Amino acid sequence: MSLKTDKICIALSFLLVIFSYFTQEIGVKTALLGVALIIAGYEIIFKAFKSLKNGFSLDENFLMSIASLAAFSIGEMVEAVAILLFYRIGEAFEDYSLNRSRRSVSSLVDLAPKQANLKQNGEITTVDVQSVKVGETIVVKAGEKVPIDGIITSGISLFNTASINGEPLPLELGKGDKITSGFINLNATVEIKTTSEFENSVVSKILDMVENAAFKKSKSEKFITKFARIYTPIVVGFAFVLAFIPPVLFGGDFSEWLKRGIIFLVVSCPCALVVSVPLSFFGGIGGASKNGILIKGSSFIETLSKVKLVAFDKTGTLSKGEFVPYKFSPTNGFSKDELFKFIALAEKNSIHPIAVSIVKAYKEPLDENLIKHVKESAGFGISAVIDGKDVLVGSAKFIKDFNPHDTDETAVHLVVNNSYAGYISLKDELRKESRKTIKWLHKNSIKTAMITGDKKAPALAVANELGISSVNYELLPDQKVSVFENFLDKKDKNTSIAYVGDGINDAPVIARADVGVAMLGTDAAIETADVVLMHNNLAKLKTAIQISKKTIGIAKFNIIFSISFKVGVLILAIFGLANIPLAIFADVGVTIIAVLNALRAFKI
Amino acid sequence: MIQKYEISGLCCSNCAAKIEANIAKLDGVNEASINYIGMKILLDFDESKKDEILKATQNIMNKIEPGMSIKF
Repeated sequence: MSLKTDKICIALSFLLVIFSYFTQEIGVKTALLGVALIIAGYEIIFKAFKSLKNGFSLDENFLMSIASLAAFSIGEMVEAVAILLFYRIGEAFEDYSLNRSRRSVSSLVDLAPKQANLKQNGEITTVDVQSVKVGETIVVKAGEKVPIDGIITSGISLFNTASINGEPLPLELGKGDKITSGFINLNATVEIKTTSEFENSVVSKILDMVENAAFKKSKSEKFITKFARIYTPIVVGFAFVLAFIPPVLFGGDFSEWLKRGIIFLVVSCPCALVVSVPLSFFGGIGGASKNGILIKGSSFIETLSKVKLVAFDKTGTLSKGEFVPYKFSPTNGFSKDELFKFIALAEKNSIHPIAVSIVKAYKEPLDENLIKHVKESAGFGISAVIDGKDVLVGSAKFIKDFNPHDTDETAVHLVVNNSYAGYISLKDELRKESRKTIKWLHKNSIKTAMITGDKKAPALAVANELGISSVNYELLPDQKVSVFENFLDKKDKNTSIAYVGDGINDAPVIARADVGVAMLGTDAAIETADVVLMHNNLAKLKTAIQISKKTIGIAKFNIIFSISFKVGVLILAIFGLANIPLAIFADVGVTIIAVLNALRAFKI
Repeated sequence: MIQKYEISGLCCSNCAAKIEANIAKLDGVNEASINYIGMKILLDFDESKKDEILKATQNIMNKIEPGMSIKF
């Protein structure tokens, strides 16, 4: 039923109740209140009847209908109307809150444009975004959203990235820069060569994750629905016992005991719980998305709130994954410049992060004509002919036959014409937010650990700088899992352990963790993770934990408040100390308070 | 096969839980989960029984929550 019809029925019913006060004629009074009851409650009574016919009799509509009709039959006519009227107001309020919440989340995830401007043979046509293929060129004008991930091939502009990562400052991107779908182009037309199809773009993945989040229910949500299924029949049974047994067995006033039974029926409505608890979790997920954090289910909010240990990967997680050459160790008569130039030339066309960093650090132009016969062994090194000389560049393992210098650092070694020429040491820069995040975790009694595939010296250096005491290094992906499983074996049952990583090699540990957190890095990590921190911002881990704790706090408050208030009124009713208005408040009032409280979860 | 469908007319998560439990009992259904606030249902089912499962799903919805519908 629409909100407008609800409002009309509620207003009409109210008016009839008011008119009934001005007549002493019992017949007219009964007729006015009877009509008011039908206007306020025909839909509720109709639903209850249909539900009863289908064999699912104990729903809220049934409870309210029986309570109201029983009250009417014993002459408590105003109360009878009030039961249905306020129940309906509560329902309308719930619908309004839910619609508002749905709208706020859908506007949050309404990131994806439906169309793209495709440029083919110099002509621009507007096409369905799903028909654009990888490698095609799309044009994004000022004011438009970027529909598909890609690389800018022409133009420079400012982009609002807030809907993806929550960053308030616009970002300037130009030719050669990677661009993510969902960014809003602010001031100039750019051309983008797409690097993925629409369904694999960041924006599609976000939509999918947010949409799927509410399917993974938390323990509290599951508890509430189970509880409501047991609680309602018990209270209803008790209501009948209370209404009929004392007057039949002990000869009490029948209408007085029936009134107590009615109070039981009204109070037993589980609306406050069954609406507010899922709404709190929905709010938590929505609030997190607004902050650039994707939480893939209510259950992970619960797990995240119990985190007592966070294990981190190093490279790309605590550090930027951008290596800076800081020490040059030439040998056997080679100069520093020769060492640097040979390595930079050999690595010029590699996409390995270390190679990219070295080429970036080598500021001079590199002559492509000097590079020939390049052969790369992924993860080990490169062999090539540079300026007519046979060159090997790579790890100590790659050139082990040439007696490389033994070092604990991250290093790239060089061999020229079968002669060892030295190595360059590199260090990985820490993320600026790493220190603050670790400090916050420690301050909040959350322990930290590092599990990395990197070498001992850089691992210890980063751990010391950040104050992480538990460090495990030089681990392969399966060894990372074993170390993490050790942590899991030792943990307390009621706590959880998170793992934060970004690479493909982190995916197995992310999958194994109580709560796996991925930086916005590789697809494998994002897909496996339970929580994704957008824009590679580690500080969002703190926000995610704060959101989860707040959400759990709200849900717990709603559970305890609703149940204890209702139980309190039920106890008062047994002793004849509660009246129908108080019972209505215990139903509708408590629901409204719980729903308003749940809505706080959206605002973090 | 995993499919998501839009639903409407569901009044509370209590009914959602009843509907989920009843659909999960259907032959060929591996999982049924209702996102009450997002008003969607996620079904994991045997593709060869798609038609009968969807029909039975609609029936269960009608019985437990009169007026509720699923958009196929």
